[in-house]
Amino acid sequence: MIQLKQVSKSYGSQRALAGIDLEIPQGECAVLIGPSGCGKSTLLKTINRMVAVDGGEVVVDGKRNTDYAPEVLRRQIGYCIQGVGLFPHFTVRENIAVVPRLLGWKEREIDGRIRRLLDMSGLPSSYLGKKPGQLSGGESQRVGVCRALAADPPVLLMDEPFGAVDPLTREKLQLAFNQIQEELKKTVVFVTHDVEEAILLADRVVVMNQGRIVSNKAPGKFAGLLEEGFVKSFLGNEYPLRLLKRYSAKALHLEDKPPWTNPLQGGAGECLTQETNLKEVLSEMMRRNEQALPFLLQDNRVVQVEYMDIVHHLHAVSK
Amino acid sequence: MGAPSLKARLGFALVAWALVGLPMGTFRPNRVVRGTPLGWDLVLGEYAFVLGGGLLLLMGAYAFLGVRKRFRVLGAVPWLLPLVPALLLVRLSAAVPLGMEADPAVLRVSLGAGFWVFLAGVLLVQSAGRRGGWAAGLTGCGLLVVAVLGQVPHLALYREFMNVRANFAMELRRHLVLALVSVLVAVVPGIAIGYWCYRYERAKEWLLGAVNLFQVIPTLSLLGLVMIPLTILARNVPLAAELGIKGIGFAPAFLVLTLYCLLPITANAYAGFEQVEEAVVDSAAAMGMTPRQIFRSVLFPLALPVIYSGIRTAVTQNIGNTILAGLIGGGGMGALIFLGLSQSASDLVVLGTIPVVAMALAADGLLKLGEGYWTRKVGVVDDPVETGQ
Ligand SMILES: Nc1ncnc2c1ncn2[C@@H]1O[C@H](COP(=O)(O)OP(=O)(O)OP(=O)(O)O)[C@@H](O)[C@H]1O
Ligand SMILES: [Mg+2]
Repeated sequence: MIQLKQVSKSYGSQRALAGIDLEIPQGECAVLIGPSGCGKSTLLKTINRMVAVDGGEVVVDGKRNTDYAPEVLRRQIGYCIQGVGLFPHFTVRENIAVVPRLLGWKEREIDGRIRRLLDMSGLPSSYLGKKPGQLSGGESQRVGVCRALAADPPVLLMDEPFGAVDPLTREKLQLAFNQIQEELKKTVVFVTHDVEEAILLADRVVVMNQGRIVSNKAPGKFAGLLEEGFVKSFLGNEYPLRLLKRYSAKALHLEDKPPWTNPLQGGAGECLTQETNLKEVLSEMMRRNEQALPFLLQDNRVVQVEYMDIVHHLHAVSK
Repeated sequence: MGAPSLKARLGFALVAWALVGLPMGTFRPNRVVRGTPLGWDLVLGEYAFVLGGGLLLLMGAYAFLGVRKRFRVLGAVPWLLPLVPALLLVRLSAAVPLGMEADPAVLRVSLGAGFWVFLAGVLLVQSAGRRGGWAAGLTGCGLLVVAVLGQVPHLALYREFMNVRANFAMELRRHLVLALVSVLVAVVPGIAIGYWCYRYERAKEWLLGAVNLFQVIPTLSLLGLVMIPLTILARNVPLAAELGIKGIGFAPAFLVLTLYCLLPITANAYAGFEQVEEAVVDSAAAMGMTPRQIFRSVLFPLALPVIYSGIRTAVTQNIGNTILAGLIGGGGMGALIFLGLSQSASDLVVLGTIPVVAMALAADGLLKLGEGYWTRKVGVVDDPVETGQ
């Protein structure tokens, strides 16, 4: 668990953090989002003590982070620095192996670990011998993510880790991230500029502006009526539409829906599956000019989902 | 390819100038008499025009046409030249002006402006080509070989060498030892100071300022400044005197040279650490490396190429500076040079200077070779083609 209490930090006269209170429970992913220069990176760095706070305190695992030796603290916190910062004179393999080696893992363990990480990131294993200078920006970022995950740390700090990756790969990485998160339940603080990324990954979205937290809620909670102001303008008017991507049709409790009564012209192929996300469901309705769509369940029942089901779902999560 | 051809043209111009307008040497019946200038026609004998003209033609062709693909054969020209200055030297040694009588046992030929300009021109042309350093080195070896083989007995330089030969090798060795050891001693403190400057913003101004100060004080005054405390030390601490520490001689020379090497090494070390990307150092710290681990496995290897070139600068500069050790009895080639100056024996001065220049060039060349090796070994790859992947 990570807890920030009244944390503040100034660079000269520049106030980077102005009294931050934030609690991230064990196993949750908090996504920091906000305009450039609002203090996201600085907040992240106060956690692993790359930045010393002027006031307040940071508690990691029940102990103030200043009570750990900095090296000990940092070795159990995976950190993807903004700007990647791979070691240019190390190969990809050596880069990923840094923390495991510092922790004294055996080379065989490290090998196995690296292979799995590389698999997950979608890089071919021929890349292991390359130097960072030979990688593209997106590839470097992926290696940076692998390096942060290498020693399987319980806490992860990720500063725009997918910023330079192409949209397709990014989506794959986000899915991979969600899978890992579901399995391993790390405590994650994730910085992004991308509202959609925040929606997909966050257990809670922390909106920052000018060194303060202006809002801190589960992503669904921003879908309802918001006061006019910074949060609304930053998240954008189409936020509810974007939020749909977070949920799959499963979230609508399909088994309670009424059976589909109209004839199916295209057979079962016309039905959607329960893995389809709600944004796609809505798009499909528009494509077919329908207000209701058939869904095929696992027990081969075909049920009917209506447009209003989606609207009600959004309303429910925003409560 | 603009720069090499410019070098070659400049070299060609120098050679032409030397052949047309400058005396190759001075002929003197003995050490004290005033001399007669020796022109190149006299030196080359009856074929002077053919030989000189041919040489100019060849070098001119190389300098002006050599860069073109079509005339690639001309690339061989720098490799044809190494023996030319050596042969010129042999001819010079044997030249006697018309109507002059002289005792072969005492007559001497000093090298004139023409010879030096000619040599400079040849070296310049050679260094313009591919692997030009080696061709130029070969030329130097050629000169050395004819001297060693005794083919230039009348050359004033040769005669001076024979006079001091008992000391020559010893002074040469002393010079090298003094120059190299004082650099070696400065390496670790230099890097350490550079690192402190990098780590501690406040210390930076003080430290760099202090190191700079040594560089700003003229070497000679620094010698004087060091002599005083060392003399006092030797007077009052018997142990120091026993260790051979005195106000003059080896100790102050060594100290001053070491202080002098500090700046290039420190400045380069600082610049080297400073150019390592901040994100890299930060991520090393964030991975949980200790400051020592960061230094050893990130900062130092990444700064090494720059540090190395600082050491290279220090070595070359120091080989020259070591001449001053001769002034205070520290030995080295300076001993010969200052002896020559005091006797107004310019040939002895030249004799002392040549090895210094040669050593500086050779050291620079050798260290440059090493530079490539280190950069590759540290392995910051910018060009994927280089690694063959
Ligand atoms: N080392 C530093 N020295 C001085 N000022 C700094 C330093 N680091 C950050 N700042 C300032 O602190 C403020 C917050 O910076 P921070 O890097 O946390 O922003 P950010 O939210 O991460 O921005 P971005 O989205 O562009 O990465 C900025 O105004 C920045 O100029
Ligand atoms: Mg940032």
